Amino acid sequence: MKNKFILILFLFSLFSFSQNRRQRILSIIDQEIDEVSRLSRQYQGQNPNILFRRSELYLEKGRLIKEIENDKYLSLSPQQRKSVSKSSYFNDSTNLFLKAKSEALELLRKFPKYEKAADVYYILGFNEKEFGQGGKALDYLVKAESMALNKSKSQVRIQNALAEIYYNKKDYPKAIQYYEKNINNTADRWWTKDAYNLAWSYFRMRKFDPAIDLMKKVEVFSKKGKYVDMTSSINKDIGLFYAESGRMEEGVVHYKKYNKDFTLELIQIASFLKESGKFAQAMTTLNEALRITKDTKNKAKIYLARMDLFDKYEKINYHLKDSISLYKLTKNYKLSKDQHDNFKFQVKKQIGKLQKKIGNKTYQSSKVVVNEKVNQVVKYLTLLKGLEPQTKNDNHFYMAETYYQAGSFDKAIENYIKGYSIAKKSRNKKTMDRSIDGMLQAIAQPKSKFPNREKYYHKVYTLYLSHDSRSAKAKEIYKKLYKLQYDKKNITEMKKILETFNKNFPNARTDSDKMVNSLVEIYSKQKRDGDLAMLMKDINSGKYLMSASGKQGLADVSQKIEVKKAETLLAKKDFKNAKQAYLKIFSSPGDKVAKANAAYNLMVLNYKDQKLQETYTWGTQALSLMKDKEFFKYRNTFLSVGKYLFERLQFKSSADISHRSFAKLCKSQDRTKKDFFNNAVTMYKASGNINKIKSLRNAARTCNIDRKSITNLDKELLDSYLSSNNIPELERSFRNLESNRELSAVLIYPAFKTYLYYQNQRNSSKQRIWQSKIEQLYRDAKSRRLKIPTEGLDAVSMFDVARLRDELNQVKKIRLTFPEDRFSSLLDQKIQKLDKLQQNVAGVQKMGANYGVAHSYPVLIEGYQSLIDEIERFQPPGKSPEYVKSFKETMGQVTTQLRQKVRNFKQLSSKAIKDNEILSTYKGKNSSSVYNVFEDMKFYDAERSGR
Amino acid sequence: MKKISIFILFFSSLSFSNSKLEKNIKYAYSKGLRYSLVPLLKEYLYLSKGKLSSIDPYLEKIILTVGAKNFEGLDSQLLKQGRSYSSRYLAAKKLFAEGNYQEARTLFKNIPSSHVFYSFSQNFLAVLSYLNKDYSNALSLYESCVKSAKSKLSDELDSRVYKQIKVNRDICIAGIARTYYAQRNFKKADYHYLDLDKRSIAWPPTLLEEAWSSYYGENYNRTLGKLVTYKAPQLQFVTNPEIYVLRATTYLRMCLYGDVNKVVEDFYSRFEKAAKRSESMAKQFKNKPDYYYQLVRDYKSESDREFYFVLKGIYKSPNVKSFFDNVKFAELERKKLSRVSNSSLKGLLNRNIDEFIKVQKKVIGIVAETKIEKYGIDLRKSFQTMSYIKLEVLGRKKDALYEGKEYTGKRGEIKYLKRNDRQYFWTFNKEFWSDELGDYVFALPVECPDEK
Repeated sequence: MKNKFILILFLFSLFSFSQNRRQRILSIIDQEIDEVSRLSRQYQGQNPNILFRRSELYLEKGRLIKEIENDKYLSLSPQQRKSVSKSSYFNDSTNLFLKAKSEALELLRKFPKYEKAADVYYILGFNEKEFGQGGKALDYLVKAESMALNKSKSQVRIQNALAEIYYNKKDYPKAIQYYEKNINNTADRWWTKDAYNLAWSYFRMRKFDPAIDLMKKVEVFSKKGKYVDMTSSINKDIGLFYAESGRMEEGVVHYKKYNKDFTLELIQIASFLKESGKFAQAMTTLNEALRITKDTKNKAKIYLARMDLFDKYEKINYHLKDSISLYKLTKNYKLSKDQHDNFKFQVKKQIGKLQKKIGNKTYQSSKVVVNEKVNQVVKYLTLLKGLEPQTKNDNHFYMAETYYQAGSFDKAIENYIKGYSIAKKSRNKKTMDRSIDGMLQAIAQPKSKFPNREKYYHKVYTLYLSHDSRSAKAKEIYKKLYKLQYDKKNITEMKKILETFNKNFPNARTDSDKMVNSLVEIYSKQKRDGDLAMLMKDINSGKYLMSASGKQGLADVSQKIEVKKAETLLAKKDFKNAKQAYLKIFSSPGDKVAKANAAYNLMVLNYKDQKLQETYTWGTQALSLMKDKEFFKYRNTFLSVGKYLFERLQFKSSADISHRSFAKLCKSQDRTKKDFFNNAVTMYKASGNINKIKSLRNAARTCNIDRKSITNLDKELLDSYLSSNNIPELERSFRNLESNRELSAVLIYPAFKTYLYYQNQRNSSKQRIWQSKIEQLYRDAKSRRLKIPTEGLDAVSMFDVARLRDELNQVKKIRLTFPEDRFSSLLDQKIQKLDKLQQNVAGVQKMGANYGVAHSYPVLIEGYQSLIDEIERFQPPGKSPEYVKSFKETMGQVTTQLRQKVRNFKQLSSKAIKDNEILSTYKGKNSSSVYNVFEDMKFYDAERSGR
Repeated sequence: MKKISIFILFFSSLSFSNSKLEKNIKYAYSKGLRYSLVPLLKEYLYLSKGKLSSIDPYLEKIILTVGAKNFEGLDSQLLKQGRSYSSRYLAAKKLFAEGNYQEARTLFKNIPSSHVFYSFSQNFLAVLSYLNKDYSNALSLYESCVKSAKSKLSDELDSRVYKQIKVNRDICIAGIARTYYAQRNFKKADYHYLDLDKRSIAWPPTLLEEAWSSYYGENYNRTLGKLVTYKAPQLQFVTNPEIYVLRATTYLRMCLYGDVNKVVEDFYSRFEKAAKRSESMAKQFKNKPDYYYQLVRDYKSESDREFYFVLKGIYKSPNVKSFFDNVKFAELERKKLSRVSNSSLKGLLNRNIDEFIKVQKKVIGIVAETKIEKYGIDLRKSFQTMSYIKLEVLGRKKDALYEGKEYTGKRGEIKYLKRNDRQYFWTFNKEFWSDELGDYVFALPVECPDEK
């Protein structure tokens, strides 16, 4: 801190040029820069001295510009300074320093062996110093020093710059080492500045004698004109040197030389000493200052400074004395605002401290001491009244505080109350707050300390709530006040407080609950049921606020009463009223268990009364409220109720009761679980509710229903989806069952339905998958010798017939042509293929599927018939009529044989159809669903042949 | 430094035997011919190995007319073998130019006081003593030179010969002042400078020396007065940058910073262009004496004011002017050739004139080139000096401001004059009369703080 101070002093004293003079110097430097540039041109830039000079000039200009910029920046208000960028105020100087640096570096680059390199490094070092780069600056300057010639001017200025850097770094031993190197060389005009810094360095190292001696010498030199004038700084600082060294008397003598009032300097020194923690020296200096000064203004300053020190020393008597002296001064002299504020602060601080001491156990053991301190407080309060007239009404409050600290709580409370009422009149909220706070704290004292405290409770609480009814503290006070009334069992007051509390704290339900409960408690104890009922009514109407759980608690209380009542009625077999009682219990807010119990009893009572719908309704209510464990006890009742409803054809209700009961037993191993499950499936089947069955299917595995039951359920679902043609669901059910090989035969047709579904969807990949499944199922069924249903066989044979048709098409594709050899060969091929077709037809026939039987022979007949037609139509090309005739004759023999075959096949076909009794089935369209399936198939084939 | 010898050692294509040569020289001389004889004389000197005998009087006259320089191309060994004083004088001069002072001194000393070259040799001997810092001897030799020259000057002499002796005398007068100056006896120096006739060709440069002398005698107002003389129209051809440098330096010594600044800026603005021109010319026309000869010859047609004075200064400088005169008179001599009856001799002499003129022009060209080049260098150096002076001023001003002092004051009051009994005080009214030249004295106070 002090370092900063020194720096500022330095700047102001050394460079305290008038603005005009500084501008003139800058103008000269500009001319010098121009001239040096012109000179450099004369040397064609090859003279290092000139380059060096220019660099120096930029540095010099930069330093001056920085001064101007600094002044400008310092002239800003602190607020303005915060809002601006500091660096933007130093742009010009920064640019100049950079120029100086770049010139210097350029010089070193061009002339590495430049004889004045030391000076160049000095510039670079100085530059870095300006940029705040202390480390770099030091590096450059150390290098400069190593290069400078011994005893040269360069060496002097480099060493002084180094000294300054160390000085600013607070490395005073080094600063001293460097300053001392050249201190005897007094030729330079800056000697005073350097010597001044050296003196400060001595001072910092507590070498007071050389510090003072040098400072005195600087003072002498400063007056010579030739040197930088450091007088004003010395005037300020030398006193400090004397004071710190304990040579204050000499300091006074020194100041007397100036022939002016130097009290201010002494005050400043004292301030510095105080800041340095040297209170005794500071006090001596202030005493000396007070002794010599006649100026009221200065006296005021001294009193304030001494008060500060007395405060530190805890010398309250002295402090009070100076406070009174200062107060007297203010009759004729107006303190500055800061001083006045400081004075007030001091007085208040002492009051506070005294109050604290009064409250201290150590002091309290001596009544005399306490009284003395109370008296001091009174005196300070008198001063404060004068310093702060607006606080005169606060005297009772401060007195109360003092009594409080002294442990006189009765007196304290009385003063607080008085202070409060005065403050209220003058609407002094602050004092009101503090008074009330004081009262609260006083009554919060232990009874041992304040035996009469209860006397004040009501008064203080009421006063408090009249003052503040909504704060958190007020909330607590309400509770305390309520407790007071509760202790007295004053229900009227309790209700009043509760009502006000609810108004001011509508959300404080927990507290309100407690208050209400305490009322309930009183009513209950006093058996005032009517009042209790009224209270419940008021609560329900919202007069008194309660939380939901609070209300529930109250409801449970009344519910229990009702349950007892109902049970009594049951015992008396008064079922009608019992029903009413249970109904009331169920409908009133209260315990869930009681409600579930009521619902169950209502189910039973209605079952007894043969009321189907009510039985079902209360059964479901009971099931929804009862816990699983509770249900388990009564599961057989529900089995009976389900059976009862089934018997009364209430399938839906019965299924629902069974389903819900099954769900309650889901994780149980009890055998009734399967009964409920099967009952529910049966009931849902009876009522055609597939979705519910599906829902049961989904729960079955989770609830550990046996595999067989599940498979049965899946088969039910499969049939159901098959009959409702719900293919997506069918597919799902199929997947649940397909792993069971024993079901292969029955699954062929559902698979075929799915195949047809995808055929309609034109989804060929799915078709392939399903065709393959069908064929696999067929193979499995065959291998397991399972009985394949007719529609299953038809489905399989459909694919066989399709394959026969493919073969037929292959035969038809072979066209008979001449020459004769080829004709014979082709004819042979065709006949061989038809033979093969015939064998395959026999295979299909053997399978025994209706569709296969009906459709396989026609394929073979068509094959032979088409060959007969082709032969008969054929005319051997380019042959003589004789040949043709002969050829036709030969072929006639062949066709005759073929026709015979056709006739045989037709008979076989007819017989097979007859044998299988399938003809009538396929005679009329839409006569059955199976027929429709084959109609689709036909369509499918037609489409294929069209391609 | 270029050696003139390479040009002078041209011989006429037609040579004669010694006796015939002697006869022809005598014959031609009798017909009033001089310049056309220079090649014949040089040939004769060469052939006779310096033994001139009856030709010696002719050589003396011709040296005094055309200048010794025209014979300095001959071998010094050959010249010093001769018994005649003329050839020995030529040998001494050449040895002096070659830096062989010892031998030169011996030869110069041999010239008897009665001889026409005596005053010249005294001048050379004085210079040799001066160079040896034997100032008292130098002074007595200069005085002997002045005395001898005065005794030799007679109205009967050829005007060119008269002029040579007179110029030599004036140089010796200046030499006395310079010797005192060298002894830092500035008062005596100033006193002796006043001995020099202001009309003398030797005078203008001494003004600057006087100014320096006054400067060192701390008589700054007189320095400034001397220097202001160069502003006179008659002396504007003296373009030595040193004049301006000294003026600025003097103002600096007087702490008249405004005046320093003005001198510096005037100097820069006046001569920067001339400096550049000199420099570019030196590069562009290196070893082209013809160009320089024509440039100097036609100086009057030079449009640039500063360069006009430069060329005029070269034209008027003693060693250049005498060569121009040689050219002029040699041309005039052609008319006299009709007096020669022998046509082949006439033809030879005519060619000799051609040859002679050619050599003169080359010499002029070389001297001019050297002077212009030097002028450029001097200017550049002076610019630098001027800048340093200005920086000094700025530095002082700045120091004063840093110290919180002022640096301006009044200027021009009589009380600041310092005079001796032979100086007149003239109020400077910016007009120049020939007889007032060099007598101006300024009246400026010294503004340095210590002087107040």
